[in-house]
Amino acid sequence: MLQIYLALLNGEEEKTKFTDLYVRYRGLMFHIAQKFFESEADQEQVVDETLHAVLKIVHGIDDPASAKTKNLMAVITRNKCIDLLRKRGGAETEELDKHADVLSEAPPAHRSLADAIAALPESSRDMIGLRYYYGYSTREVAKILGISHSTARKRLELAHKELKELLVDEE
Amino acid sequence: MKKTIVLRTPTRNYTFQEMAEAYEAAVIYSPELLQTYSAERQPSAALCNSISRMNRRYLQQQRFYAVGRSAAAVFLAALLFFGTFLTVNAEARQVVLSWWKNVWEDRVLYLWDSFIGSTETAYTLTYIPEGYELIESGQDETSGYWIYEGKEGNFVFEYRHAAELDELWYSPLGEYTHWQIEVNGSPADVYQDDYEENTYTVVQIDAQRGCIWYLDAQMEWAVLYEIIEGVGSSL
Repeated sequence: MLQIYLALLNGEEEKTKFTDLYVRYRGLMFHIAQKFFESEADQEQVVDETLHAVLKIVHGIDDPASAKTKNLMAVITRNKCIDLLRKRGGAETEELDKHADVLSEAPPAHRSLADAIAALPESSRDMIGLRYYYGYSTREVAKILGISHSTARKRLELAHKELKELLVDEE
Repeated sequence: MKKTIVLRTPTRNYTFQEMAEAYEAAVIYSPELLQTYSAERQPSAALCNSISRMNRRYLQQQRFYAVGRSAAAVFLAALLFFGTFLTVNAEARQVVLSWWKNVWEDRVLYLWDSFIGSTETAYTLTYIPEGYELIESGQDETSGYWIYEGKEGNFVFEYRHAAELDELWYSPLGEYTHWQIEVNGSPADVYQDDYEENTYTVVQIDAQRGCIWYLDAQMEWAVLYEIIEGVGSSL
């Protein structure tokens, strides 16, 4: 299976890096997909779409073993799950609410900027992370997540708004 | 760039760097990331086969696109002659080069559906209201965008010209109120959000140049109008 992805890459360095990412995080990707979908076919689809997104950014990943990369893989997988739920429509809101706390805990009483970020809904927290921590422009974020540039900007704007509300509440 | 203020609150402003550090503290070294996702699972043979099938389809698609690209190259060569004709003939250019506004299902789409090369027009904002700061921008041969942040919220200005198949999506109908205004002598569409106060999108098509620009903003209409009156082009 891996060979098929590798056929889509050119350089040896990228192939080695992608292999490392695949071996290291396939369990993680399936683990996240399982939280959203019971059907194996859906899980497969999410993992496949995640790996295709990773193909686009593998050149920019410095250390596949780092926590930074692990989180990036989780963020992309989670967003692919959410996208698939959205495409399905119908029970979208319920499902998204149900999975809103996959990575988060209840917000702490005292809130710094980090605490406020931790208390954000996942989609907003991911946008903050992709933009400021990983340093992707909103255009790059749109490409990675498979959404329009306009949607990426709107999501970032919404994340700012929510973050401000959380910080102002505490201030 | 890293010291640029990207988030303002009434009592504190936060820089790009501070946002990155806070995200790192909140997420990267959190117990959730270190522990929750530690489960290892080998995909089953059935899954592997299934993903292999999907990827074969993807590869076939890539090959199809490669063939398509060759065909497109021939097509583009043919268009070169036509493009030259358009360059020298302003009347013909006006007829062929344009964005189309379409109402499709419940959305408004601005579509460009030609491969004709673009002009070199670049748009800029000549007026930025006090209190707004540029937090992100990008520009290439066919487009440019600028995101400003102020106390009221962000506003985004973007232009594109039509060098490729392109699409710009706007307003789900029924959630926006639409009307037209005149900006610098040409009509522009205004979409006002029915639920969010003072939230507007203004879109203008420059049919002659094959360009489109839009401005998304949350601010008083009078201030926004001053900004759009100051939209200038390099040609």
